[in-house]
Amino acid sequence: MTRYAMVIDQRRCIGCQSCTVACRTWNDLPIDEIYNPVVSEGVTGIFPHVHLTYKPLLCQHCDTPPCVPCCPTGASQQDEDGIVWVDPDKCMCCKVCVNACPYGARSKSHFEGFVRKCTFCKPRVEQGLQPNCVATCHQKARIFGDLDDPESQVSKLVRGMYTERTFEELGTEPQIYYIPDAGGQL
Amino acid sequence: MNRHYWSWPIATYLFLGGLGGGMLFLIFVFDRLTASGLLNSGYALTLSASGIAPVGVGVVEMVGIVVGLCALLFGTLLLIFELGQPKLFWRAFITKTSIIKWGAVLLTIALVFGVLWWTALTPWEWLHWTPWYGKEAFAVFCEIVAGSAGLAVTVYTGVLLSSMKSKPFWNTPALPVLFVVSALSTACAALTLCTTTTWTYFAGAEFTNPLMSMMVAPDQMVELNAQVLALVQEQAIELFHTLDIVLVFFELFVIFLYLLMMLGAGNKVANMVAKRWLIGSWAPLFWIGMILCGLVAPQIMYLVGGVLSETLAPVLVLASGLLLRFMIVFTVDRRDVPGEYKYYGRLPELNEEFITKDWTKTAWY
Repeated sequence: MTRYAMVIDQRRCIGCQSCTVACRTWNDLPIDEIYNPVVSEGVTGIFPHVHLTYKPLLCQHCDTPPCVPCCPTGASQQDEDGIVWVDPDKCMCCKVCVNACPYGARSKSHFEGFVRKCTFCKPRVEQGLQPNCVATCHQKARIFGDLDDPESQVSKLVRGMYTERTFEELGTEPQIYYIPDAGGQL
Repeated sequence: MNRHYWSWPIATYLFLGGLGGGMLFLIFVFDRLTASGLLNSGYALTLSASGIAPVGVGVVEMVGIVVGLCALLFGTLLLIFELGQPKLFWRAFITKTSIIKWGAVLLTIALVFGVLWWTALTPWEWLHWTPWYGKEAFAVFCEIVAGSAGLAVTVYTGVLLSSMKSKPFWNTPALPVLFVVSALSTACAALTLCTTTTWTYFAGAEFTNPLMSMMVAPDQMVELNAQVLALVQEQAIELFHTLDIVLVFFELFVIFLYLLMMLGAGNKVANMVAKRWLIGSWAPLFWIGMILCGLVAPQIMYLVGGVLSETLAPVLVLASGLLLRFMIVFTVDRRDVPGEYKYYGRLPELNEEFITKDWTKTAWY
């Protein structure tokens, strides 16, 4: 079995937003739709102990996604390899999945009448390539791979490092693992 | 940051669905489950071919079903045309798990059986060609199905919103309770209005209401005993008023309980939204519009009685029900990852504006 997941090393992310740009170019997104914003709380702490951390966000491709069972049309679906995606031919755009997602990862397309979201660049992954945001990350902060393969870099990192997941307490089992930049706190 | 993805058509639908479903359910309850048999007499009169027009609550019932069905139908149309691809609406029926699918099924059942129920009893002669006209057993069956589906519609709208894990303000079992109470109180107010209009219509000599004059032949009208009618209508109004007093009181109670629960909740977002209602930007609308004008004032009018209690009070209750749905849909928020607010605050709103805006005028040089 394959279970795609991503590890994001926040210690390496410098907030250059090139993953946002790469994603936007690849998916041909309008200006107000962003699959992977790179957010930051801003500078924290008191000099000399100041710190700046970036957190790239994207669809968490949850193990128990709230956006799939709520879809009345069967357009919102999850593959066996864990990728959550929307079939535009089936979507009637009731926006219930947009409301159900705790991560704000889905958006209604303004120009076409369906909901769309990050798909881990499904067509690229099927060809054995990396998703575009991973391929473009020059800091190697994004690491993509098969979690079920014990030899993959992703599963080694998840097993060997301290990782965090976003809103884990909601029980959605998100599959994006963050290696936090603790700012010297850990 | 206020992020609501649903807009006014959904809010209006939540109101209309509750109103229509609640009306079908209340008529079913008054008709079948009350010992007084107020509406049963209406039935008997409707069905008798002895020349007596359907009077009293029977008329209210006939009008009530039509109004309820129209509310449901209009709400369903709003739902369909709010979709990004209205052509694909039939796909809502094909999955098993989705709450929206169950909502679509319940709406269809309520609409179809509501229409069958009404056509089995209709006083309009041009509709008497249906094979099921006048079959009381069939009418009762349709009534039970439509009434139950109506209640289920009011419940499911609340369950749909409360199933959203992402919205802490919705994600509580108390939301369906609030929706059902509000739906029943608005439905009761609508029934009061139906009674008022039919009463003024029958009591006066001039029959100006086109809907009613279609229902009852003019020569039959003359025979109606005004005193008997007034008595029946008085009973009906009293029944609806008593019920609405209880329901509006209960609604006030549930709203404040809900907001207190959200204020006391450990969740920061739920807390913030409750503050938006109580002291924030929506507070004037909430305190003056919904609580004072929409619930407390009608309650006083109901208790005092008189003309206002039969005309203005039900309208205010209906308006407060609509406002409640709008506030629930529009004030909601999901929680953000730290920094997300700042990030999205910097983005342009829409592509078109970004492209067509004349940037040279605002350039710093």
